[in-house]
Amino acid sequence: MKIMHCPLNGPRNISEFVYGGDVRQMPQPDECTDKAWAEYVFYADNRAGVVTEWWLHTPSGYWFIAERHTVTDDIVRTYDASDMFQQRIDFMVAGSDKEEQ
Amino acid sequence: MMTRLPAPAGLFINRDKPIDFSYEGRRLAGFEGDTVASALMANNEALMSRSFKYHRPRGPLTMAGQDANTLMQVGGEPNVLADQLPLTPGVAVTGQNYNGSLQHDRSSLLGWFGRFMPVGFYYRAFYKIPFLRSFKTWPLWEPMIRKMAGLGVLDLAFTPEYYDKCFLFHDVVVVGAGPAGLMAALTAAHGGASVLLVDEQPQLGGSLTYHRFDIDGVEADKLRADLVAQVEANNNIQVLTKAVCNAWFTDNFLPVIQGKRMYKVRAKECIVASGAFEQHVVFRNNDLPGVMMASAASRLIKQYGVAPGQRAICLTGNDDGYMTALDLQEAGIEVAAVVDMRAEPEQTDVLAALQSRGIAHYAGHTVYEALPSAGNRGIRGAELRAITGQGKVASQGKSIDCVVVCMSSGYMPVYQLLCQAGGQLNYHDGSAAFTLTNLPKHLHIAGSVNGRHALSAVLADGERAGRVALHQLGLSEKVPSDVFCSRQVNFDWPIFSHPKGKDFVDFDEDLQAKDIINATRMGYRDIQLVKRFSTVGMGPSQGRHSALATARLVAKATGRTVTETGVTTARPPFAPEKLAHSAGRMFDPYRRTRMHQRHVELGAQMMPAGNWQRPAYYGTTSQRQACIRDEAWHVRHQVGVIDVSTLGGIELRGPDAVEFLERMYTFGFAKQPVGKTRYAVMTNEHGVVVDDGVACRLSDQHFYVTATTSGVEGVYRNMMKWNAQWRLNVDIANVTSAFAAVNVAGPLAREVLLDMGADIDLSPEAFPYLGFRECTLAGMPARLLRVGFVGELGYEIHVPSRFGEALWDAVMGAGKTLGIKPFGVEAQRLLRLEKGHIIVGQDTDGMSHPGELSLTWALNYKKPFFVGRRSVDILMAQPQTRQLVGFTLPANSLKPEEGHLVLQGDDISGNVTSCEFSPTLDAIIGMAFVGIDQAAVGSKLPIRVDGGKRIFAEVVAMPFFDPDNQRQAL
Amino acid sequence: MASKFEHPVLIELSDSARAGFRGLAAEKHLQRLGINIPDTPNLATYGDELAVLRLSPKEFWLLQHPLAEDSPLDKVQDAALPAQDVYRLFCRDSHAWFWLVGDRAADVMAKVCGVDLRAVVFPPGTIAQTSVARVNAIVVHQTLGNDTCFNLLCDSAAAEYFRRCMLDAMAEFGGQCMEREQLLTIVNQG
Repeated sequence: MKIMHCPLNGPRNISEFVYGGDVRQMPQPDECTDKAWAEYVFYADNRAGVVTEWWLHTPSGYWFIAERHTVTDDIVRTYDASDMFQQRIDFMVAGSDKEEQ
Repeated sequence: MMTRLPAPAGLFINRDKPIDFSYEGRRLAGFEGDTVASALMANNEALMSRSFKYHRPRGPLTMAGQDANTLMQVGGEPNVLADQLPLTPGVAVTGQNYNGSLQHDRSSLLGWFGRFMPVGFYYRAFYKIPFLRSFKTWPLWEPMIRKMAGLGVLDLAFTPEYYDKCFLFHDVVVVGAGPAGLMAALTAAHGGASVLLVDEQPQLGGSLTYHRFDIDGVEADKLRADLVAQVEANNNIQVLTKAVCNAWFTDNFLPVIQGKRMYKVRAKECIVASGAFEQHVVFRNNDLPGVMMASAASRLIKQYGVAPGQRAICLTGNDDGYMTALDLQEAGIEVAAVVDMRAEPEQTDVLAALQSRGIAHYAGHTVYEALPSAGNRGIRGAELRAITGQGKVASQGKSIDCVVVCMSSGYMPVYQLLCQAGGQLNYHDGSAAFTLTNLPKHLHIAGSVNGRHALSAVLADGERAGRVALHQLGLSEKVPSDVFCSRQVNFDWPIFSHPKGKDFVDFDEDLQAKDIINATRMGYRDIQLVKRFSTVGMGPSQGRHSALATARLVAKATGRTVTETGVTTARPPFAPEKLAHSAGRMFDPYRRTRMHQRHVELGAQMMPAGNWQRPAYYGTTSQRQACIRDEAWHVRHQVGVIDVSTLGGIELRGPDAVEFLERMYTFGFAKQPVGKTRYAVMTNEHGVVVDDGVACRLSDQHFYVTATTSGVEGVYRNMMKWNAQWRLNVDIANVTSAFAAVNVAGPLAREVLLDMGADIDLSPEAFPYLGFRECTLAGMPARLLRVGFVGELGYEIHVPSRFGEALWDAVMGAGKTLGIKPFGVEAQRLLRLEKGHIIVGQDTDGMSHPGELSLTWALNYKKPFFVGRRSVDILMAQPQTRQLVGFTLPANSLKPEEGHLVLQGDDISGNVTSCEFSPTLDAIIGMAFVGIDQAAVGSKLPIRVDGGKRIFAEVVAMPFFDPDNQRQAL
Repeated sequence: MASKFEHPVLIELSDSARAGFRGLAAEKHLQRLGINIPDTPNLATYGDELAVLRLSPKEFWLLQHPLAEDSPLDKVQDAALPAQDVYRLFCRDSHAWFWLVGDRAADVMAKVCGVDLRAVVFPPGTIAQTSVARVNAIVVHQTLGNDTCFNLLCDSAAAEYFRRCMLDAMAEFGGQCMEREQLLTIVNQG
């Protein structure tokens, strides 16, 4: 069984983790085209190479981000989600100037 | 009569402890430490099985549990490896796969028809008889053919036994306790690592327990005693003997099976010193009892003190065969000849040793045919021929009398674990030697599996591997250099086909040289295809002996090299593994509410709900329907109580609690007053409804949200994941297990609560429908929700779970005079269906958007965002294709079941999601997805029920009962 | 001094006092109440009165020693929370609490848990948030006299299942369940 290094709990059996999909940038939900939204919701890149993914350490309820090579299945790096998401994200009512602070 | 060689032969046996057992009904004796096979050999019983296809007599081949020849029936267990199973008192052993007796198997006549039974014979001949092609006759023949190839008898009346699993953690695991493994373990342990040493044999030492490494035959014993003493004295080493490492999984996760336990070993570094499998020589009758590996003869003598026979020939392609000859002679067995397939031995002193002992020597010769004794039950001699070219022999030969032929054409590394780890097995056509490359970083090999065969090199290689492991662990700075070894042990073409066949490549599957060659002629050039067509390597020994010979034959027949041909894939498990080892002691968690004991006392029939155990109904199974109806009637007419502790609960607290709730659920919550509840629907990013519940506002910054029993885990995860991105200032806590809850429902519900003693005003004016209150109830801190899930006046009471049982008792006590009855999940399902309330997951599927479920009223468009909103918008803008509707049928109609199809013409337009008989309405009611133009009230729905019959239900408006919702608002 | 628990012992402490706090200001709040806080997540401090578990940068659980003379947790529970950024957790009700005591505790755990809990890698004062018998659990290593003592905290609804699994795992080591009072007697002997 593979071992994954959880940024909070250290190396653990992969069975303690749940995969949460690719880390993806959500398009502006009120402004993007239907096509852009459908691509966001349904399309996966399925890339050969290093991908950035959400993983959950189930026993501690802790979501973090892992960079994993899809060809070798090597987990290159794991880190806290706050490294990538540093700022509060806000949605504004459609028509206002900006959607993210 | 049992005969044994004098000590020191017989390292494994304890001559002071004789053991009685039976074989084919006869009483025999062996010693403690014997395997069943060694005890049989000591009693001159070399015939142990009949082969799979031709029913040829077979005897021990490896004496190491690596071949199918010793598969026997032991008590109620078939297919036991007799050369591995320790002898136990009173054990009853019989042969298997024979017709008559093991000695006189009538099916052995099949051997005479061998030439008419090529690969795939049975299947090709019987699957369709050519002149009756329209009739499939296989089912007729199959049972008869299976019986012919029967492999033992299962005891169906067996008593299950306790098998379990256990993790085991070490810095270093060493697989194989031969000289290389012992050295590796000692080196790693001396360097400060904790070491697990695993070996299949009952004693440490590997080849040191049977192989002769020097002409005088003293080195192995001396070395073994020394190394084993060191291992036993070292506290850093844990030893598992009689244990097999059955696979290699990522990051050195190794299942090691010992007895009835599977150890799940995790090691930082793994050293595989698994050794090498001796390879046989392909010649006519090379499968008969008496023909065995040279190492098998040595094992019989050294480990068990058993002479393999009284007159032997050693057929060899390396110097080890000479050592076996010395072993045999020292044990008093007459060695008729050493037959060396090579022109000369590698070391001159082994030849001198033969000459000084007067053993005849034939260089450049092979055994061309073993001469069978009566009934093929053994051999009486061997015909020798000079080798004239690759696989070719002189036309005339010489017969020599013997009852044993020991053969060694070389060794194949025990590569299985390593190839599972992604290792690459390479064959060098010039030297006929193997190497293993491409191993993962923390997996190392040492000894003969690494192509080191001279003892000094094997020991040095073990030490090297131990040092490499230490270096990887950061316990040593030195990186040791590779160990050089020039010993060649493999003869490149030990295959001598005979025109009359019975020159076996694969003993398990009775495959002869021509069977492999024919496979290539039929177009199967790829080694994997040859395997699948011929079944070579598919038997119990999994190609341990047939893989190399097959690769060589396929390479030659297709004009390629063995490297190009390759060998077939090795997959786990390495050795046959009982299902019990995988199935033993499984963990299947279940959850119980704090009221569980009370339900049991009340005679509840429990049912699973996710991993919870919930009361389905109260009463006997024979009264199921009556109980459910009675419980439902009681709720409609008096008062009932149901344990809803399994309901999910999530606490949202903090300045952004409202904002977070607005983003996660479709409804608007910003203006929700404190002390009110609001229905909450959750959609995923696809716009599909994935959960629902009730949001209770405790204060400005505090919500308590319920979720479905099976959905809450996903809801909580989802919330945590979103907020890892949004970074709102909100604390999210899954409090499902922290609260116990009941729903008290029915016209008399308020009376029950009044009787319990609450410190709040329970009047409809002060605490109306959809209200929420925190209070003290019967002395317990409680959260009260006025809900209407079952469509009656109802209170959900949530208390910290430690009060769960007390809450149940208080409700039942207060309701006693009011005739309160508990109701279960089944009655609740009926009651909520009467009210047209959906259950997410039952009445929804992976495509249901809010429009299809008539939940558009629960969508709030004034807020800027909720998860799934954009998808909902896109879906709702498209023409809707289906709708969830209510339908009814007369009480005496056939009742549709969940999942039955709704039709529109000949097409499927939807399916039934819920359906029950409602005693209240005296009709069958249900919900179904239907085509959009079938959804109008009054339309007739064709539903295909069991047996393909169509019935017609009528679409009606929901709710079915109390359409104005007056009862719950009382 | 010798071990008092040659055979492992399981004691259910679910009725004993415990509390949890979470939030950006939780650490400061507890420090103000005189609680000794571990520096990094998954470490614990423990003494005769309280064990303090740090489960994340901002989550803390306090376990009152089941053999404590008085109720040291009360003053923590009674103290008012700051207006913002500290939230009470529900661990008194959400989690069952067990002690597994004895020399062989790590061997028992190896039958139900995939994390290496041998003292060399999991010394006293460390925490593993992991899966035990396929139930999410928090394992905290502390000592009881000269004996290893693992605090095991798991979903309270799975307590009965969990106890069964532990009993099965302990069986080969001669393990048994014990009441808190029995434990007290043994600990106070000699």
